[in-house]
Amino acid sequence: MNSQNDRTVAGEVEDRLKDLFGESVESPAIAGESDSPEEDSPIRKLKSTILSIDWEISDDLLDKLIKEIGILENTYKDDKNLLVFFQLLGSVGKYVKSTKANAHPGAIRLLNSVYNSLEIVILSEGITTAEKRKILHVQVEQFKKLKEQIALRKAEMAKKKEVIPSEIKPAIEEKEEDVVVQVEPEVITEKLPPDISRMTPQETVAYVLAEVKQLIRAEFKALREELKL
Amino acid sequence: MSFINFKKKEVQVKIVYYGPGRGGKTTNLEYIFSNFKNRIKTELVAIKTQGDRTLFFDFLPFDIGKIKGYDVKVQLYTVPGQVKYDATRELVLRGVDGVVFVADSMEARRQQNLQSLKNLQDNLAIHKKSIFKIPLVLQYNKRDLAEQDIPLLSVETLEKSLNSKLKVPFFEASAVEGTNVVQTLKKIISMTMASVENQLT
Amino acid sequence: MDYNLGHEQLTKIEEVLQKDLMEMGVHCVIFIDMAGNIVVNLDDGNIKHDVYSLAALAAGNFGAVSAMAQMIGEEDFSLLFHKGEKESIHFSKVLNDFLLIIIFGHDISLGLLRLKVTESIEKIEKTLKS
Repeated sequence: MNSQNDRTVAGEVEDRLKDLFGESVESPAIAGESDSPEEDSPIRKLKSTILSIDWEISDDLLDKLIKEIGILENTYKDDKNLLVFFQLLGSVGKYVKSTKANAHPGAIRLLNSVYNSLEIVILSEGITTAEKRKILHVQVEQFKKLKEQIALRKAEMAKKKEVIPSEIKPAIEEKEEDVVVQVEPEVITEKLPPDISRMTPQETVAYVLAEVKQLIRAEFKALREELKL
Repeated sequence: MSFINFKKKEVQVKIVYYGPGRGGKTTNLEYIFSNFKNRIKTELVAIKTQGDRTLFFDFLPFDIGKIKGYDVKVQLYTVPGQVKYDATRELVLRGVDGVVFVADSMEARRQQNLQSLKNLQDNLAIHKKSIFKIPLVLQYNKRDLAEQDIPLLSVETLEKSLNSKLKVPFFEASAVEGTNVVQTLKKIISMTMASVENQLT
Repeated sequence: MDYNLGHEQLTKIEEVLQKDLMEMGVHCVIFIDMAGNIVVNLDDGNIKHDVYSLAALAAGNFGAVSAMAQMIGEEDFSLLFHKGEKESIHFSKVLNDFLLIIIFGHDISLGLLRLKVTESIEKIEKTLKS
């Protein structure tokens, strides 16, 4: 039976090849669709910008980031903890914008890290204020570490006497009036230096905010010096 | 292995042209494409270097029509022949159903033929296939060079060095002129379909 | 092919790749021609893979992707990047004759790498045309 089958198949193949050298046909139709409903949540837009920056660093995206942070700062202006998150993001964003390819690699990592922490803080249901502060504190510490690393790198480069070419003037403007210190019953207390624990809640918040502000100021000052021709 | 879509009643078979660099693998496909493109109605995709050497593969797909109720689509591939592209060759051999080994009849290329055939055996083994079992046709190409007084290996010599153990069908050919190009192709398609056909019943 | 690849140029290219990319922390930088031949190859000492096969496949891959780009009406794609769990590969064209391949870990941001690569390529192209 098999041999009969063989003949049939072979015969058919033979016929087809005769015709072919001709035949013809087809084209498969492929349909595809993708669907991504766009939620209008502000943090979605921020996330999308942060993800885009991971793939591509451009003035457009960084401007978008800074703009969105501005909007979020306004939306959440009553939440001190969140404000600090936004300030960290904004500061790192501005640093990357001014340094571009010369940015410390840790800056992008910090951007992602701060965003991820912010997402946890905003989206986790039932998260306590203490937990929020704890998460924030970790990010503030990482920010400080990055600042140290940048300073170290700068010192090393100064030793090598390299000139960092730049036509970009830092677009960072500190606006004191933007850094609002509001009084809130909740405080950031865990794992702070001992003297802070003696402060009142309001003083603690003010202290942390001032510390971040100082860090940002010092960093930008260093940057400006670095970028002077 | 051949891809059979029992629902759509479609079979796809992959045939790879293998052999040493500059042996005529691409020329085989170019001949088929340029002479039958009106009937084949698909494009030849060639990924080449600027020096016109195959870099990745040449690819020519076409339908041969219905066999036992199945639409049979044949995919012809060539591999880059240069020694340094071994990893690429191994990749292109993935899922192969039938092989045409295009040997270079030039005397000067005797060693390269042997090396390439051994390479084929090794790469097939990586894909758990045996050179002794896979549908295989030998093509002794460039026979036309005899007219230009270029020293060629005789068919007997080629048979002895390449086919004594394999004992597979062979064709004397000239890809550039088209001699036995279609015959080689028809043979390998028949052999490949024969090996696939028991899966169709 | 209209470029200059003498000893001096090779040294300069190596310097650029070392300073701009290796020092950024990437694991491996391979500068190849479109046929898959390695021109410059730098790594951090931890590379265990067969660079020669990688280069041949990379050239083939780039060639295949370029063919796809043209099929869909593009001259080329501006980003060819394969993301792995631990290691990723980024490809860039240099003039029309070379490819710059970078293997890097997840500690390097792609966005930052791309900026660096653009700068490096500018320098390399200058060197090749000099």
